[in-house]
Amino acid sequence: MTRFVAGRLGQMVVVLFAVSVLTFLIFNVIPNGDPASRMAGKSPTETQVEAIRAEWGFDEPLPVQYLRTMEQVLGGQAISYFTQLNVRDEILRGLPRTLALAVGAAILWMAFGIALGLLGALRAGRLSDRLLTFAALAGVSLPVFWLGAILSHFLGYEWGLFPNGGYVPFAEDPLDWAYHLVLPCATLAVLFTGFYSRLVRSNVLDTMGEDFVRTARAKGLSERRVLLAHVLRNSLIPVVTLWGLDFGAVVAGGAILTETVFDIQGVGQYAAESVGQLDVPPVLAVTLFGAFFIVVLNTAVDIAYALLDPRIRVGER
Amino acid sequence: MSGPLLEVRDLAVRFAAEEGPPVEAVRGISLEVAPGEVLALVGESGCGKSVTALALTGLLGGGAARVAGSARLAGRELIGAGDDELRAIRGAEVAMVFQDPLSSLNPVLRVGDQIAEQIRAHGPAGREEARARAAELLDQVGVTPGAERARAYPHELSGGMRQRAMIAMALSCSPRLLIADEPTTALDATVQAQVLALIGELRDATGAGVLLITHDFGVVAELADRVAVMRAGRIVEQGGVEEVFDRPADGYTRRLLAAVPRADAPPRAPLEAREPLLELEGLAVAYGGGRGRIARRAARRAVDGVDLTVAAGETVALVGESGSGKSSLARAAARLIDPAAGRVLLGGSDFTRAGRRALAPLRRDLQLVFQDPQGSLNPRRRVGASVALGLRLRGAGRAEADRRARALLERVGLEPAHADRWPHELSGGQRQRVGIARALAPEPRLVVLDEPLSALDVTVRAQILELLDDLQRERGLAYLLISHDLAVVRQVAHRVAVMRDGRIVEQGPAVEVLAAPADPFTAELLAAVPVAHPRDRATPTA
Repeated sequence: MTRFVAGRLGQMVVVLFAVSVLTFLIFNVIPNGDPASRMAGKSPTETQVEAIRAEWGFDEPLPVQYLRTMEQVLGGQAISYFTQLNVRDEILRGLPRTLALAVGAAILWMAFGIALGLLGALRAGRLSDRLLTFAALAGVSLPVFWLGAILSHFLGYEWGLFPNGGYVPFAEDPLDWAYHLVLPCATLAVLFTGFYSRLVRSNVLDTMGEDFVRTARAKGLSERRVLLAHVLRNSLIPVVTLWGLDFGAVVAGGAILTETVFDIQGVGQYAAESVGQLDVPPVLAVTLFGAFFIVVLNTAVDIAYALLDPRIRVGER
Repeated sequence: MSGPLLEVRDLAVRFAAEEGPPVEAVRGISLEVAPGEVLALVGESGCGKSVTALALTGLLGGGAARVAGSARLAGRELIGAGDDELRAIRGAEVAMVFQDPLSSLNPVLRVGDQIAEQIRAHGPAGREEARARAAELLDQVGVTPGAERARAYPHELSGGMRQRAMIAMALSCSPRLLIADEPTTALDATVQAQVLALIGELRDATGAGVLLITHDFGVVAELADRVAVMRAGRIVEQGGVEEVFDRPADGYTRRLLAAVPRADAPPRAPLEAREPLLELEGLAVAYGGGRGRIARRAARRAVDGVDLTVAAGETVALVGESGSGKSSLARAAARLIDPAAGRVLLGGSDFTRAGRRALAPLRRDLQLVFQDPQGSLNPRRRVGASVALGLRLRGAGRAEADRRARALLERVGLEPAHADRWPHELSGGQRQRVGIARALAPEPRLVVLDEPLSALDVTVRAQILELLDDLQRERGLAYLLISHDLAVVRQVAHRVAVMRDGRIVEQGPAVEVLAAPADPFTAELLAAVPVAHPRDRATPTA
């Protein structure tokens, strides 16, 4: 177990290094990416640009620039080229917002995914199953920015049932916090619910054909117990692990569109704005943060998998 | 109360088909099981015997099955009973044991909890009480120490232990009727003997009636009091076990009995000495491990220093239990896996370290036929194309390969027109014939047969054995037959090698090894073979 975790940490360092180098290089080869001329404002003189270049060290060789930027990012000292704000503070400000959105959406899509998937499997082939299939397909196909805009316009603006975007910190007013999160979470969850309900449905159908389910019935167990203890438990093992991965992906940037549509001002929105301005330090920091999160959740998922399925033992190869 | 425990009258089961008329799986059968009696329901795959068992307990499920007729358990009608009534009967009064104990147990729940769950479903027992009872039951069926084994997951037990645990589960609520559906088919011979003995003991101890479903007359001869022979949804003959063995009244029963390899038939005499074709010297196969030094040391040796030869035209049988290394040995001989040590020679040439190109003669001269004819044929390739592929790879033109493939299919007893069929359109026996035709295509000198009969019905087995024998005579083929079925080995092998834990513990002419085994393990294997006739049982039953 210790070896497994240590190995994963080693892999993580390699992945993060590769991600940081790639991100850094991409922003240095993009045309019109020279930060000095962008920072100098409208129609600057060549001297002004040169001065900025020297001050920020943009005239140094790339490896030196990379190392210095990385040192700042990892040390929490990185400053945005354009807002001059500390990148770490900005990420920490956005993190609770992104996490609240991701956790809320993940709970919603898991709950509805399991419920609808189970319903579809139990009614397989009937009209209700076909309607659920259609709904799931629609959910998967709806673009988040469109669905978010529609919900926000009608439920928020036209009918005033929900707040029209924005975020209220939990500490200020817990009720209002939750109220503001309903629409964004639901929007983000719709896509995943469609996907998860299909996955749960097919897993449940597969498991119901297993011999041990026949055994469970032959034992005289109630249908409820057969479904919960034998069918659902085995069907959900792969779903739970996938859930961990998707949650990581949402926190690490999958919520960019939702955050932007509802003006949550989370990490995703920060990343989107920074990319738009070709602002290297925040982009690098957010990318590393996302990669870190994904790798950590991957490891957590592997451990969870071993706990859920006794046939798999962690650390054995 | 006197009279039968289970009384089935005119039971019929129909399945609605997607197109065409409904399939009549069971066409009006009647049978009785008395308390303390073992009734064997015997038949080949697809005859409706398992469907009968599931229909009795209302487990056919889905809306597709229509069950008609009557089945009374101690006077209570089961057919058409409500869901709650059936649920109360299942597990408590009628318990079931299925064929494959690994897939029949929930992989993510502990064995003890799966037993306790049944106890709690049918009684007021609390969690701890049910667990304690589960441990006791495991002790009782020989899964010891029960308290410790109860905490194991199914994959942590051996096949025999798992089936014992299934039996413990079935017994947990003291059922009046035990339905055992092919309970030993997935088990090794020695384990089969133990499990059959266990079922017999429990029947004696509890007085429960047993409905034993099997395709194996050896199992019938060991355990049954009465026999019902089933064919195509009907019972063609029913009677006392000795009567059916001695005076089978129905033609089909006679054919079935005749197809059973005789465990008391004389083995084949060895061939006169000739040059060896295949020579394995000190062959070893290791799994696991890896590149590191420590990892390599941890590797498990599946085959450990085996010397074995097969001469032209000779049949050598390699027998042993599952996990003894038989298949690994065959794969290493075919160079499908790389041996860890030792040498592989065919026709005097050393192929141990041969590279891709140099392996070509071995790939031609040594062919394999596998156990599962379905799994070993490409489902997306027509049968003829599968056979022709080997010919095409060796340079035959398309038309030539197709013509020869059809001729080969005809030689193994199929129609040339079968070449245009898909594997799923054939029966198991037909598929195994295709597997043999495919192996014959490159005109090999040696065919490795890895459990070629175990997936087949008795009558089909007899036909395939006959075909293999004809081909050997006709083409001077050598066979390396891997089998756990000593009755088959007795019928076909010139020489026998007995394998255990990766080593050959005994080898020699079949007449010697099978008649007077020198190694205790060989003797144990031979003793585990089911008797050929009920009168030969070790302990005569009432």
